[in-house]
Amino acid sequence: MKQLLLRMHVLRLCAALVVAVLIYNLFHIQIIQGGHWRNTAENNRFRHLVQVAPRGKIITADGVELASNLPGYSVSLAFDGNRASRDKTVETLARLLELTEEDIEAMNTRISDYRRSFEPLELFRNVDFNKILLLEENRHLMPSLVIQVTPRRVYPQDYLLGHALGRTIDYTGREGLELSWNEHLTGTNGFSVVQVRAGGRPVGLPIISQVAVPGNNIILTIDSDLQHFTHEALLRGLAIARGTRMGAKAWSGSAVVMDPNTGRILALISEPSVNANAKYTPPNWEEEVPYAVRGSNLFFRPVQYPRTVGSIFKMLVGLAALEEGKVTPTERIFCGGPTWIVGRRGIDSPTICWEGTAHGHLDMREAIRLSCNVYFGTLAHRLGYNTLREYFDLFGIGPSPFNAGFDCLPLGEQGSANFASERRPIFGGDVVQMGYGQINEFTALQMANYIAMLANGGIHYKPYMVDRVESAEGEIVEQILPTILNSHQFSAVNLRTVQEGMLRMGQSNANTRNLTVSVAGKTGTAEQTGEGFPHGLWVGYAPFDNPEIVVVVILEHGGEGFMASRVAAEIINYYFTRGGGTR
Amino acid sequence: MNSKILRNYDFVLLFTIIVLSLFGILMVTASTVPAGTPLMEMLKNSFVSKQIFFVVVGTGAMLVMSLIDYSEWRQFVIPFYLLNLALLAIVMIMGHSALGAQRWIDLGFFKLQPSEFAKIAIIITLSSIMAKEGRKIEGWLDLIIPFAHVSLPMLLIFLQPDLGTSLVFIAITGVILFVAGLKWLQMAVLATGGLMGSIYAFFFVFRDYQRGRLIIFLDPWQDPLGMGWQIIQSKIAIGSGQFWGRGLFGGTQTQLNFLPEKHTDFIFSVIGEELGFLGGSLTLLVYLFLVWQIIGVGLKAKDNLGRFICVGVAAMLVFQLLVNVGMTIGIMPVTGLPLPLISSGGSSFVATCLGLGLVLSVAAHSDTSMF
Repeated sequence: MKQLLLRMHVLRLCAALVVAVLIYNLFHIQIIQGGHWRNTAENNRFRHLVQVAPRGKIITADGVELASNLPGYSVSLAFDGNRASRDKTVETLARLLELTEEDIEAMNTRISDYRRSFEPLELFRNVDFNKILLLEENRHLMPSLVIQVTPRRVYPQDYLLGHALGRTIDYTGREGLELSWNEHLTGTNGFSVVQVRAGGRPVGLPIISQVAVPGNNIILTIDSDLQHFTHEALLRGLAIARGTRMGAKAWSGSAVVMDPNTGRILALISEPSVNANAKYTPPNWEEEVPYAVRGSNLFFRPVQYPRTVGSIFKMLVGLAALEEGKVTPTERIFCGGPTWIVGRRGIDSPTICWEGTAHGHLDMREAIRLSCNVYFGTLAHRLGYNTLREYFDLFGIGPSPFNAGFDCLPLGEQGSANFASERRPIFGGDVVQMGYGQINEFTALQMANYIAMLANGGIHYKPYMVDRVESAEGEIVEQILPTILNSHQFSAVNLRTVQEGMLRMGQSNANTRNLTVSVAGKTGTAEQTGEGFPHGLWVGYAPFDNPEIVVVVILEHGGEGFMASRVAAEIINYYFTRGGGTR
Repeated sequence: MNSKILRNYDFVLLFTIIVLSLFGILMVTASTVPAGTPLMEMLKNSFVSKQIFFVVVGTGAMLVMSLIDYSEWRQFVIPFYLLNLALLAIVMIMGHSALGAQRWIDLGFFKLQPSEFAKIAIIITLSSIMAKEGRKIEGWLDLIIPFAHVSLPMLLIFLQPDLGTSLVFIAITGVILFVAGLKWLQMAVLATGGLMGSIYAFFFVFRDYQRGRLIIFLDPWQDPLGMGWQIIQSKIAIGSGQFWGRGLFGGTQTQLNFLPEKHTDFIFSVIGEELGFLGGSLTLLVYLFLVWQIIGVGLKAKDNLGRFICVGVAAMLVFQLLVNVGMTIGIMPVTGLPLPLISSGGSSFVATCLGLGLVLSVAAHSDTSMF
């Protein structure tokens, strides 16, 4: 019993010892080291700074940077000071940046809603350098201010591929290539933790830091020289058209240069072009630019803007009729001028060839060369809509997948196919008109894909414009290979017949016949209601025996197909005289 | 009320407890409500209002406990023990359905933490077992029953995993057995065995992150943003308090949210920062006074049961004080034990009150004189 009570006294002493140890340590930390810790608490606060990783670049096949980064300045608010210092900072900032009442209110809402108080809140990005100087001068009034250098997206080539590049909002891809390749382009942000003095200035080296990893670069299949030249050629074509009495509306158009053996897109033009750095700033139009063009300048025409394509559609109808046995390569069909192919019912006007010409008896090759509407209207009538429609899909120009399966740009941005059958029943007269490219509307890229299939013998390569993804150090992360979406074995004789028809056309055209390579081509003229020129189109490939490029040119309101063939000839000539492609 | 109870009632102890509880409400307020909030707004803060609620409930339960003769509980040893195991088992089962460590049973209005009540259950039941007529600690075999009794609930808590609370069990058991007459040789053997067991567990049972958490206090700068963050921020807070403290609501570390868990496990950091060495050491001295008083009650108790209960409760309080305060000043690992009576948290507060109610009952029923 005595021992028990004794032991309880021992316990009391143990408790006293524990408290003594704690008080001793408390004394040590609060009295002996107190000054040091007070200093740490007072003067040195930890500030968690995010370092935004540079976005990957977008680079053409020949190494021209279309999208890159420049240093920009961001202004943030740190939450490591007291409320008063924060309020003072915000107040001074609003005054120096001359913010409106609305801006101030919006800023205050963001500040009061902010929950990650260990990290500064970014208030403004890409602040003008002069403003930054002003803020730095008044730094002592804004203890909670953080000014950081953060990358800013720029497009050094301005107009080159301006539509396709898209744009970023808050340094995140929101449109175009920036959006569809955002995952690759986005890097991994770094961070550092620095100690900051009461005035908000960092003290010493960061305690801990993780370097930002830049995003991957996207290397395009586009060749910048060819892209540039193609654009110039198109502009020249439009200018020539405008030089004539009827050409006042010739301000817009598109062009595609594609490799038929892979689906690689080498040039992709949309005119009017946009400056990727100021996409949504309306350009300062010359007065005579038609209103219709001003309204559609943001369309990336070759993938977003289906047009009536006219006669360039005839090879599809011809090949379909040959394959289905509805005509033979040598069968002659009589064209005697305006003709009622399905009778008066179901069509409101007869089929008329160019300016009411009568072509006489024509076989397939001649019909292509002369672009006879009566011949191809007759073939379409023989095929019927359902069979014709199967060939739309076969050539990748049906409504689905739109643009022949092209997916380098966000699919939601690729406009929508314009097929009459999606809207209304199809009558016999419609089918006849489809035979020479009316009724339905197609994009330039769809036409390029269809011509590529004629050129390569029926292989549908998925069109693509991104060749590879590289890390910032230049290592290949992902190589994009040609993808065969569909392959159709056409009868060699039938295919050859259509190709030779195109070759005859190429050789009889004054623009394309004298080039160093033999060109297979087809002009098209899509009649437009109203004043001015119709759309002038040209499709084709070269060289005839061993096709390297497919070219599609559309001059909206730019005159007949002949005008477009001039542009195409320039492009083809440039491609082959400067020493071949980039492969 | 029996006049004998009133005569023996330890009002000094009761007063000390109430002072500490009110101080707890104040510090929970200081650590959760921004400076400059009007009083009525402060009371609307859920942490503050909850703490007030639990202080009322806990103190009420304590007063009721103190009026019941603690010897009455002897007859409930087995039901208490089984209920305790059942609650811990429920936590185990629910823990499997939730993420990782699960220490609570969600009752909707209140999250019950059975391990807090398990400490009190073990104090009563182990004390009853050890105080049984004729039980003595002579040889090693006499240790089997108490060890088996304690290790089952302790294991369940250890598996939650809640290392801190299971260590409290060791402290309670060790102290009760010590007072019950453990031999010096036995103590030496048990201490050596415990030490070797801990070393083994440290290297072979604990996962990497648990090991890291246990030793980070030795050098928190190894991981200043991760595991070391709490310790560094707590040391900055306490150290910067210096002698007088930065004033209630004046601590930058507290007010700027540098301190995590500042209203629960790290509430002593707030005390240190805002009330300084003066407030911090005074708090510790009041604690010492409380424990001193509790053991004093035990010394005057009428039987061994009362003595064991008192030393058990004292051991619980001192151990938690050492681990909790030691953690905030960087001399103990971070184990997540609350500071009894002061940290916010209903289960901890009410359970501590139940233990103190037992002590008050021991005091009130200490008179053995017949009349």
